[in-house]
Amino acid sequence: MSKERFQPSPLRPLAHVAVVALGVIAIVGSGPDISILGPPVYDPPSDPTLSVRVLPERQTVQAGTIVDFYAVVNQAVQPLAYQWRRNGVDITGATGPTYTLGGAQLGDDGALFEVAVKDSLGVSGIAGTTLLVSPWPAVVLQDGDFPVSNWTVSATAQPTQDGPTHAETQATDGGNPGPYRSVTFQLTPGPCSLRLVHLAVAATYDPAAQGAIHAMEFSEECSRRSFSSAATFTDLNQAPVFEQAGRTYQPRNWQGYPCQSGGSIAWTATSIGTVTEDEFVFSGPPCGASERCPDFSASAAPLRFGFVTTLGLAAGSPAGLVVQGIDNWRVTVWKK
Amino acid sequence: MADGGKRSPGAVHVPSTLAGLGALAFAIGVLVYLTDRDPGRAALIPAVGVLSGTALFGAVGAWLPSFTHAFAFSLFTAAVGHPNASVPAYGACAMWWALNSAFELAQLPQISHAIVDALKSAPVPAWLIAPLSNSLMHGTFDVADLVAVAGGALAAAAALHSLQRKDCEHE
Repeated sequence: MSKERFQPSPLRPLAHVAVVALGVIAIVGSGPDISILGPPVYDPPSDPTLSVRVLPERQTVQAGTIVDFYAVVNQAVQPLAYQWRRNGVDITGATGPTYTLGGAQLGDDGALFEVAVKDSLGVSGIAGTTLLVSPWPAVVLQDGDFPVSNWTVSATAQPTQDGPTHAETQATDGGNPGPYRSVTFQLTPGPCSLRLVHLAVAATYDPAAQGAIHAMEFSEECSRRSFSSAATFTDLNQAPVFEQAGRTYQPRNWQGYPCQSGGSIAWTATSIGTVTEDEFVFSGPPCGASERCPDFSASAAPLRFGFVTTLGLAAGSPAGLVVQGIDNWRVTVWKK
Repeated sequence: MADGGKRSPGAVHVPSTLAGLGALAFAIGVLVYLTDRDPGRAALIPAVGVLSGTALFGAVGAWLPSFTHAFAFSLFTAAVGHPNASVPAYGACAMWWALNSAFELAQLPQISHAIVDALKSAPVPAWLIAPLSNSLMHGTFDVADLVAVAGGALAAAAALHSLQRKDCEHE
């Protein structure tokens, strides 16, 4: 490269900036399209008024646990004034963006912790979160290795004759990390559907023996390892479930189908914290007038935990093959 | 060979060669999205029906775009860089390694949440925050991508070294 022939160009710095900008756009642009993934994580504010929320949004802790709450404030003009409240009553000295509850007590169970924020223009906002407190340590049920013998599967297929089929294996590598449960759907030309309820043999909780349930937390990772792109899928569902008295329950607010495909976004972790008795939807026999569906009381029938996957093909769709992976499945049961 | 200079027979025009190599690598990276990823999942890459689901690259497709991005943009940056530099533009490779690695690390949940929260309270326009936040929050950290990024930057450095030697031999 000869120095004598170098002709400095005024456009060179501009070209540098353009290349860097294009590179960054390529990184962000190769990321997931939010229109496919559902509601965006970040919603641009349409209203310029102050907004506030408290993190963590919902949580259950064992009595004695130190709990930190954080105020997240948007669209505010600094400096900000904070006042934390417990069940509507100001907490003395709690005037910062965070509040630490130094050892949750059983008396805090169900308490509403709020923060009122006012900015320098006098605009104010308030947000809160409910804390659940259990006297007992959490009961954790989980599987990260997925031996086939650990699980049972019940299938509901449409059409029932010559309809979709399925197969489950323990994939020894490629999970996040290590082994994972591989579920293969062989779907016949649409319309068809296949609903698989996987229940862990040992993941049971018996309220009669172990005590009434206060709340549950669920988390899992899901991946679509391969699929037929020509097929038109419908009825997608992937969620943690439990079975009780012949009904299958899943959290009402669970993200419908979190499984992603391919590359660095192959495994998607999804979780939901502090789901209480009235926050489930179920399939199975109708709930009788004298029944609780589900029933978390100390006299309730045993619960068995797992996950459900439903896939269907729309009318006119060609047959399709889908291989899904499930890893790091975990249920936390908090006792009353 | 610098911009505008007369080349001796057999000499390579370094900026053009760098840009060409970069464009080839970039095209391969895009092809992975078209053949091995969910149709239309990437925000800026449209689905092409005839290619979708062909899984042309198999397991390699999981990390290849990370490799090609670091490789391609290192070469693009070097191509528009100072043409009479006495040493190849290794700084471009280091910059794209650092930038890609930072984006990958920022997908770790404990980091992505902090960044998104910080962006929301920062004086940054919403049109910029939204895609960036969603990219970080929906992306998944993968060590293989970090390795691929480093490999891409090193491969670019090797290409720069090789091309500079060829260029010098023809001076």
